[in-house]
Amino acid sequence: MNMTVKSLLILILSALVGYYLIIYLTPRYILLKIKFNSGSKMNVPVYSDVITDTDRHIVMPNPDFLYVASGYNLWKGPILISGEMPDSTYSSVALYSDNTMNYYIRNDRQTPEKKFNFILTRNKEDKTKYSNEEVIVSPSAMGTILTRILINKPENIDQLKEVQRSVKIEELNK
Amino acid sequence: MKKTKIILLVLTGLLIGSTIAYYRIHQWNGKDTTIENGCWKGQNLAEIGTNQLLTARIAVATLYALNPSEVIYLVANEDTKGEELNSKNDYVIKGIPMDSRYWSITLYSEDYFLVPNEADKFSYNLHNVSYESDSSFIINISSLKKEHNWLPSGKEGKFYLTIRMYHPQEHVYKNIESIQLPTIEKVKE
Repeated sequence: MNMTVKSLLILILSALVGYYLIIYLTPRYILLKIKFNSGSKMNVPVYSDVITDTDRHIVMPNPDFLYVASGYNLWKGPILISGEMPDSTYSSVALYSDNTMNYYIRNDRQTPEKKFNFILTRNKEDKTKYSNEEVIVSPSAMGTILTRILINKPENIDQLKEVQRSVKIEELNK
Repeated sequence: MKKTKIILLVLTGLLIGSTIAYYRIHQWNGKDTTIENGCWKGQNLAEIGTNQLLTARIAVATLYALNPSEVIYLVANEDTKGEELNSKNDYVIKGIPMDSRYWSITLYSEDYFLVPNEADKFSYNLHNVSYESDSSFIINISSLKKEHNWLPSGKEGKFYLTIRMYHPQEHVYKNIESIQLPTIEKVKE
């Protein structure tokens, strides 16, 4: 192989590595940046107020929603996520892996009892250990929990904020 | 080959590759969108996680999007004539209610955040838009105050509009590229 071909091969291979590295790292970098800028702790819910232009942590926020957001970390063990959902309006709890993929969603229509209670873990064997509970296996050790509550009428906001505050996260191996 | 030459080639390659990736992620012009209906464009978000480029793009522009089974997102950065949306112009959005449990139209600045404005108004949805007598709606986009369904565009230049349709009816999924979506017409330069 002559030197020119060899040089070209090294250049192309390095370019491919650089290309895929940036694409792989971008979502993870953005999540870390949000967590760092917001100053929030892992496995601790943050309850948003009504969203305005001053909220600049997460792009394209929906001003019609109240949010509960939390980064999760399962290195120390599973966590229990619980909360209520309102009777009269859309609500959902969604889980995102460390590359921002939405791998779990449950909405108010799928929750007729208007309460949710599930364990999030990395370990598939926890399904046996907590056989009486709903257990969800996360594809990554870290990720995000995001609860949305639609403000259908401005006069309902105090009631919806009470529902928002019912969302809790508990570390089970504490 | 000298070690220094190899290092230089590797560094040059890494720089070229990462620059191309950066621009492919950030300069998303919508040309490779998978859903298109008039000026509204969208992506098949079911591919997030498997399509790494799309995953990175969504993380930058639409972080924490939900699965298509829950919500359909459509974005417009052009009016119905294909001209870029800009806050120096006034626009009128005309449409009929979208067949879903909840829908909204939100205006975002070029950096994908809400636009500061005196009315603290950032969107209209099925609950708070004022309807015409025939059940259609007209939303006025302008940097200056309007009496009827005013959606302030601020003074920041380019902007985006996003439609969200939560729990759309089955026919919306099947006919997403042909259903009647709101039009965006420039009315004043």
